[in-house]
Amino acid sequence: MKDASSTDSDQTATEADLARRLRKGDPSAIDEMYRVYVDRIYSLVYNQVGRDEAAAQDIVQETFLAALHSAKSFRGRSKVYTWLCSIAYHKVFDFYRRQAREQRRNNPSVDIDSVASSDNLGAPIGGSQSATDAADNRSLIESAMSTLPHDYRQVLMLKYVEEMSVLEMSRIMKRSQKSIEGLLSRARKALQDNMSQIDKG
Amino acid sequence: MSDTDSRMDEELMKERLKRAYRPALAPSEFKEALRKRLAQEAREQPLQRSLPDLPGWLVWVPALVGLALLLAVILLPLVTPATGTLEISVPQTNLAGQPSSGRTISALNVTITQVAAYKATEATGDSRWITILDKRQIINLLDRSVVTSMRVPAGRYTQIRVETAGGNAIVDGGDVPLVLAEELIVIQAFSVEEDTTTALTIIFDVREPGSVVDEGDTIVINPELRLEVTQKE
Repeated sequence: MKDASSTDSDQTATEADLARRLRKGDPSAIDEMYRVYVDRIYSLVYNQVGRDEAAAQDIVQETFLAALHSAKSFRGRSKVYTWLCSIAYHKVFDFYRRQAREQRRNNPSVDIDSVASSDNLGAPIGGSQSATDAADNRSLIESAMSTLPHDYRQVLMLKYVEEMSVLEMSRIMKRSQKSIEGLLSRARKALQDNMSQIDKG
Repeated sequence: MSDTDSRMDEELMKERLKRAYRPALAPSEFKEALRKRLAQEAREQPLQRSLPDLPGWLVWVPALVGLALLLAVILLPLVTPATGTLEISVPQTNLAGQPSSGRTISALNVTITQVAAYKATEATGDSRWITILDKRQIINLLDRSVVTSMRVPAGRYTQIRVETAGGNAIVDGGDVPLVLAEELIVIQAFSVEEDTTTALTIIFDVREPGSVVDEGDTIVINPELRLEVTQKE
């Protein structure tokens, strides 16, 4: 999906030009940004909201509209994709906040971390063994992830699915690199513990 | 567990996560509809315009006139741009019974390193960030604090950016590191009127459950920022 050796500070000439045109509010830059990154942002969001297509579309729309309206104040300290992920990250967090609020009307003990995405596991696809294995793996992973705090899920997906560097994750989650390293270590352990428990169960 | 075992476990975890969360493509109809909407909204926004290519005399004649006017302005009494006062404070934050660990937080000391406001000037395209505070200041979110008060250009502003460098929390009498976003932005429009004081209250709302997380050796807060604006006489 991306070149894992590139760092957040490696803005290519093309990226720098896109960032400059975005700050000027150039409509062609907005269109270029959208065409290049919409699928990656959609995939990132889709996996974080439990493959809820309607929620993913809403969040992706909000992300790109927010990017459009704040493009002129984009300072270009990070890559354009990192900046978009940062916006998407906060939109996903807002989504879970809204869901928690709605669910709390019926059940006051619900908090943002208990609003999980495990409802959207989907039925395993019948047929080949590899399809069944894939569905079993997804089911195990999603069960193990569903009880983790929101930040733990986020950092694991950014690290292992998006293959982002600690620097990029620190820009997206707006934490120091040391904080991200600590969070990643705790998240890994928590996921491993959950998976072991499910395997035993 | 040895380093080799750890690396193998991590590689296995990575492989399983990548298999579970495969890339997904957005539906074509959705992408096309959003693309059109973005294009329309982008066209409705003013551009930061650059000078067009003009014939030589159309450049140097106005340039000479401009230079003459500049000299006149320098020699004549200066006209100062309209300014008003922006006063920023942070009210006491309500923890609403958090954190869920049951431990008591008696202070949330945040180190603020910069506060800036984005001045939108659509007519001329000269929008820019204006720094309101650029020295370190520690505020306790559980007390009311006045952050800064300074004169800024009068006009319309659309965003506030608060930059932080962590801090510390007092939990059950003990000191633990406090973690929060290094950059907090709230997009909300407000105006600063000429020769008037505009009081801006930045609310760090952490009432939502899960907004204050007790990780034992660290407190993590995810505040939602809001602004309240009042004009003082």
